[in-house]
Amino acid sequence: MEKRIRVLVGKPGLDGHDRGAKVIARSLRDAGMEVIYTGLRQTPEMIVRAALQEGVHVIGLSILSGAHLKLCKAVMELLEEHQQKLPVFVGGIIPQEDISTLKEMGVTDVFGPGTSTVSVVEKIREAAA
Amino acid sequence: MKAQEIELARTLNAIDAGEVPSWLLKSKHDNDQSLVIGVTGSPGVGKSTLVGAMIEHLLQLDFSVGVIAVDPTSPFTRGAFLGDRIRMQRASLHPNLFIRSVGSHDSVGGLNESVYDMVSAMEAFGKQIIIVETVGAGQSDVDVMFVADSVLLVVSPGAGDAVQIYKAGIMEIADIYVINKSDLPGTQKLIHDIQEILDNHHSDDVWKRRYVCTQAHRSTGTSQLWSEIQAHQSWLLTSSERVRRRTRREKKRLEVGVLQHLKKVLDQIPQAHYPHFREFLEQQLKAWHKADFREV
Repeated sequence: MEKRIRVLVGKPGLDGHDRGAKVIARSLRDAGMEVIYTGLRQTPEMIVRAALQEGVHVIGLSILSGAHLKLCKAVMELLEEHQQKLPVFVGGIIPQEDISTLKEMGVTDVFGPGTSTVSVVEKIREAAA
Repeated sequence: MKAQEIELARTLNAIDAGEVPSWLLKSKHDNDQSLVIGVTGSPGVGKSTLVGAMIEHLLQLDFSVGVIAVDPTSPFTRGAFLGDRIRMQRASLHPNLFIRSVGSHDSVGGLNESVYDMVSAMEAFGKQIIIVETVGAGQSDVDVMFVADSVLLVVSPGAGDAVQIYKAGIMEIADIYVINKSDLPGTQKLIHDIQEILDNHHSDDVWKRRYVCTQAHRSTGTSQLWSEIQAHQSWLLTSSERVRRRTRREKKRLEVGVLQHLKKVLDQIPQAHYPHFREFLEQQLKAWHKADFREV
């Protein structure tokens, strides 16, 4: 049987809405993945603990607040601390010039507005393989 | 986060992926003192929110708590949107809490075929209280009774008349009825309807089912609910019911494990071999029963 991919979709920090994260979560569900949706206003600690307890293969973070550098750094450090090398994807409003910084931190890829859900699914499948 | 927690997560993944056949999963130490609470009810009655409130109460009492929350798997894509955790966040960083969300996979009945093994794994890792939350359940989704020591059926006002309450199936499996959202109109009527199905017996050998009113979103009623669960626990121990339920759970666990294994075998053998397989099974069964099957 094909491996069942488990993905955590969460929103660290203080965002006003989670429309985009829900669209992504539903697309992943429709692509046959199990999505653990943790919703709005999460601390990096909550996200990493949930990811580890849920045994996910991939973490997806959605951030609109502008605090992506700080939040992603905290998530990556916590994963490192627990020696969990999970692929992390970031989506939302991320300025072009920050993308390389995020990737240097270890973020696998960044999805901006307008990214097709098909390519999101593909990249997550690749990373989880 | 403790290394043990990561180890438990790995074990649960292996169980969920079917890599650990049920009968190979031996508990490192038998945790017979554990309490398994099943929480079931229709979609949207507040099961997850109630579990969230219960968790906070139990953690304050210093219990180590495990939660297995089942949400439906898509019959079309095999995917799932597991969203129960959202309602359980206030205590989510507590060191004594472990929450695992699972899809219902191929199961009907409100659980998932791995839940029995997952409960055992949580027991083996020292969880004292394990809460199993079913999918939003329908009238015949009664499997939670096979895994839980105490079954809570969550209902809320405004979901049909008394006729629904007289129906067989899920209404019968409750040890405790939880009338959630008890601040909404229609609560008094629901209490009367529930009361009518409670008072049909007067024997000490039989658990006297009861109801508790809660407003889970503001944690109202959780301590009374816990007292009733404890009352049920004492009754389970003084009657022989706890042993009976645990034995029933082991049997169900074996049954589900064997069926899953058989299904895997069937998926693997080519259709042309079905007659041989059938013959083989028949021989095995004949040997077991020491009797011939009647010709039909």
